[in-house]
Amino acid sequence: MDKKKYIENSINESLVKLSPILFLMGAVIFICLSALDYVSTPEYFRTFLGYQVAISSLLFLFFLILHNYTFRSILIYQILIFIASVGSAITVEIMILKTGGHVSSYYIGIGLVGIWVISFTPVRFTLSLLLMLAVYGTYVLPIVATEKIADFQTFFTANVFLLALLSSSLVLRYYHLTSLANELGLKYDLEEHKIHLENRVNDRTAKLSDSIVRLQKEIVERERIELALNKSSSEWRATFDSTTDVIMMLNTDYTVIRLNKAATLFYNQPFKDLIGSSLSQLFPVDNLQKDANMRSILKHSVEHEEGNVYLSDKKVWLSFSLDPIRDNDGQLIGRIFMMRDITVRIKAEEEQRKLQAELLQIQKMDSIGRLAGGVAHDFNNILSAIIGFSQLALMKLPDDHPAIESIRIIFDSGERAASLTRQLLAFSRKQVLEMRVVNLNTIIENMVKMLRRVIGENIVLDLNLQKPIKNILADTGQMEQVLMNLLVNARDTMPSGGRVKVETAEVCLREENDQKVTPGSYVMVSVTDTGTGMSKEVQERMFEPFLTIKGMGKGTGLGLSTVYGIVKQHDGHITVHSEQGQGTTFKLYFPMVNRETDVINVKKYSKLIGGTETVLVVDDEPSIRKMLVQTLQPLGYKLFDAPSGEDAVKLSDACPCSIDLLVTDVVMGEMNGIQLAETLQQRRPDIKVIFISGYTDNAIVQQDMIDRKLILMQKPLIPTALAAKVREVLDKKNALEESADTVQDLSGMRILYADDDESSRLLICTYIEPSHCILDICENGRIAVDKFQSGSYDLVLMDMQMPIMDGLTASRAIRSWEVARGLKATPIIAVTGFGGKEEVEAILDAGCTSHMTKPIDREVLLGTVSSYSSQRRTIAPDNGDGCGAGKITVKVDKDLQDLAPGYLQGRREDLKTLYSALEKIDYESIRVLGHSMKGSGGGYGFDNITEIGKQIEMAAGNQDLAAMREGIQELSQYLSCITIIYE
Amino acid sequence: MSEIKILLVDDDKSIQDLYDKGLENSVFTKRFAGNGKEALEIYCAWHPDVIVLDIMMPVKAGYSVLQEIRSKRDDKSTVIIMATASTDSQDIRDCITLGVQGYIIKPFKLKEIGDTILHYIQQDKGKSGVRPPVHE
Repeated sequence: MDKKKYIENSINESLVKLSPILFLMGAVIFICLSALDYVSTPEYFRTFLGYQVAISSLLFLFFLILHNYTFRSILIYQILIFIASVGSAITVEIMILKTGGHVSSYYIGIGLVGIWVISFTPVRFTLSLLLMLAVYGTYVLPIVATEKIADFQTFFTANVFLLALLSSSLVLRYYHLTSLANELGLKYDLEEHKIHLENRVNDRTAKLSDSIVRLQKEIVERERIELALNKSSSEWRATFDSTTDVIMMLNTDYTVIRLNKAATLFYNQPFKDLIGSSLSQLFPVDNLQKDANMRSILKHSVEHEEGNVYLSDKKVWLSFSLDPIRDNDGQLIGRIFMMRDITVRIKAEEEQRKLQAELLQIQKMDSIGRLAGGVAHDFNNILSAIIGFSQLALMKLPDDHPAIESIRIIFDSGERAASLTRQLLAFSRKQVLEMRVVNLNTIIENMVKMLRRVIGENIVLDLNLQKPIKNILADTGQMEQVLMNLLVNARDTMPSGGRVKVETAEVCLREENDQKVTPGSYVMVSVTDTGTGMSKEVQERMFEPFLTIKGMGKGTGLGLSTVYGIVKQHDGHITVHSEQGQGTTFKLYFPMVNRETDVINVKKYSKLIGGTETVLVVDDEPSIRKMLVQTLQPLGYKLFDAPSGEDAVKLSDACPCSIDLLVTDVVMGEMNGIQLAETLQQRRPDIKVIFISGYTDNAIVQQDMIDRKLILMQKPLIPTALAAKVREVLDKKNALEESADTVQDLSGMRILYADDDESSRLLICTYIEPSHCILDICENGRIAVDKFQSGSYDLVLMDMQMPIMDGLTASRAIRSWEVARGLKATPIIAVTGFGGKEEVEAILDAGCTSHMTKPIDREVLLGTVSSYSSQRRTIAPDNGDGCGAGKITVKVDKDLQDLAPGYLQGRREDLKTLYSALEKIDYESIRVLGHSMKGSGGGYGFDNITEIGKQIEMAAGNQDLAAMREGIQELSQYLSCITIIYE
Repeated sequence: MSEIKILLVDDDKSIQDLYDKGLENSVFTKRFAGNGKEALEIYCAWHPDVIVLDIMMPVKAGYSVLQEIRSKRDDKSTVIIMATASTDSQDIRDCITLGVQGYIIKPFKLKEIGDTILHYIQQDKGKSGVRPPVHE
């Protein structure tokens, strides 16, 4: 709002305020002036009062209107003012006209109206002027129009006065307006200024509070950042320290300005000593002299660098990295140096590489072995025919036959091929070994002559054998093969002569890092030559088959691989030390055994010995079958042959005559050799078996055959060897005869045997007789008891069911007779046909020591008898009373004279209970009885009973059957041998 | 010399015989029991001065007899001697905790048994301030 407008508004405002008052005052003044009329013109008083009341009413009406309503438009006020002014002027004019017109003194009334209207009404000057003209017009115009101006002077005067009055009012109005305008202008300016000031103050205040808020926000933010900074700093520190990698911060001069805990640990120096050292001190570049590149990296690195180094002084592999630190402008301000100990990883990697190489090598050897084994199988069959038939031909032909020479060559070549095949099998470890306890020295000494011949005259063979030397478990043939191969190898490396030394020694191998050695005691044999030696490359591959350095056609390349295979198959180890130009040493280690050498009865058959027995030959390979038949038939044997196991069984079933020997292949179609042998042995228990085998994939079967001591011949078969073997096997006693040989010599043992059944008596006689014991036989219990009382026996065999007196009664009689005499209990073995639980109880109750069920097994019988025989021997030499020299005399207090025998009797009763409890394996009863004896024995002076009781109690507590049995036996022995002296 | 009533408890007749023999011609009036139950019956009816108790017995073991006399019947004055073939020191400790005057390790010597029992009785009387019966 500008100033002018402000002024106008202010004036208008005063008009709005003032106009109702003006109207009210106008109304009052008109009424008041009626008093004047009453004085000056009483004749018009009433008329004029009417006029005056009318105009007053109008004015009062205006007052009421404005008093109650405020109009927005100023024009309404101006119009009302105008109407009121003109109305007032007209009222006065009417009165003027009534009181003489132009000469009336009431003109002054017009003046009065004019003064009020112009002076007091705050309107614009132009409006005031307009009002003046209107008021004045209202006065002069009706007069001029209606009257003849008679008294001009008066009229003139009146007009002049009136105009002067109005003009004065107008001036006044003008002046008032001007001053008002000034005043309002000033006020406006002041107001304006004030507003401006206030605005500025507000403005400033607002700005201030803004910045305060900003400040507060900033403070909060700063605090938050500080906290976060602290947190991340400590987190960083912890991380920095927790890593096992060495981390160092370097400045641009490579001086350490910060480092982590791992660094102090790595250098084993305190923190403060390391700070300030230079990197070259801590990470000596001297160490890296060789690697110029590394040095330059460490000197001038401006980018990420990394590498691995080996610190020889610390013996560690390190992986390190160097990274630059830059400020915001990209300026280099330092470096981060990190390193990590990777020794373990490097070693592991190396280890893995090594393992992988080894694995590859093993796989390679294995697959070659498989191949060789597979080939060897077929080869053996072919060679069997070649060798077999050529030898047969040689035997049949007269010595001067022209074909003899050719056939001999065929035979020799076959033999060579067979030996090659054997070597292949040896390498593939698929051959069957005949493991015996042998002495390496003996083998070597037996071979010396042949070895000397093999190596030739210009090579000296030195033997340096440790004597005596422990035995090893080995296949003699294979050992010979090994030695032969090693010596041939040595010979071939010394074409112009030299020395070869064979040594043996007992060594103890410990576990070593690079060798897969089972620690233990070994017998070592070494072969050292002074030959050309082998290069590293050759050494790595020397055990591979078909590798030869001898030049084409000279060697098979199988020698060393065969050695390797054989040594491994013997659970041995092999080491090689070789230097080119210096010679080679092979050392072979075989596990030592602490056993005597097996005595082998090798019967040398100088010529083929035949026989008349019947032989069944089974092989699915016709040529082998034919060869076998042709070898054995001319020797006098009766031959049957079958192409399969099933056919062989059929043939055996159809053949009424005896078959003494089965010669069978192991690997055949449906029924293999072992199954066939078992089947036939069921039908013909006496049949003997020779297995022939090329090779089987199933090494377990082979091992099993060796374990079971089955007779096994390797293909290819040589007729002479076969014939010898057949004779050897046929001459062997059968199993029963053989085991009879092993029966313990029981001579001097006296056995009383009671049985009413004659066949049983006969059987047991045959069983026992070969053991040379004295057997006394009777038919019933009565005779047995009589015999027992008159003679003395180590053992009683008592049949339970017998006429006249049965076994139980006889046993009881024997026991009570023994007890009455204070004799030890003679073992009574009850022989029963049934052996049910109740019967066994009754048997034990009767005092029998043990029992046996019919049919009596020979082994069981002999085992039992000999077990009692050993007891008899350990206890005392027999002198007839069952105690021998073991008679025990015990001194007992004479006060106990009446008690002691009863006590002993009680213990004898206990003994029976003990035996039966033992049978039932009733530990608790035995323990209780043992405990009781332990408590009482010593009291009666029988300290031994206390001791034995203690032993029995403990054994029962531990549930140790053997110890219990022993204790009870001891008690029985003690009780039967005791003699009391009272004193 | 007043007689001492002694109850000898053992399930083993041979041990009873030994007691009988060992305590012959002494100050003791003897009675025997073969198990714990029997022992308690005699104890109630006869009120012995001394009881010799086997630990391991059928029907009622020595421990429970001891417990019954000491705890349930609150009899602390009867001299109780345990007899045991056990050399387990835990057994012996258990007996002592339950309040016995002594123990006899079986087997015992015939000549010594009487003296051993008297020794324990005297020891007990000495404790309670009463003159022990003297045995020649």
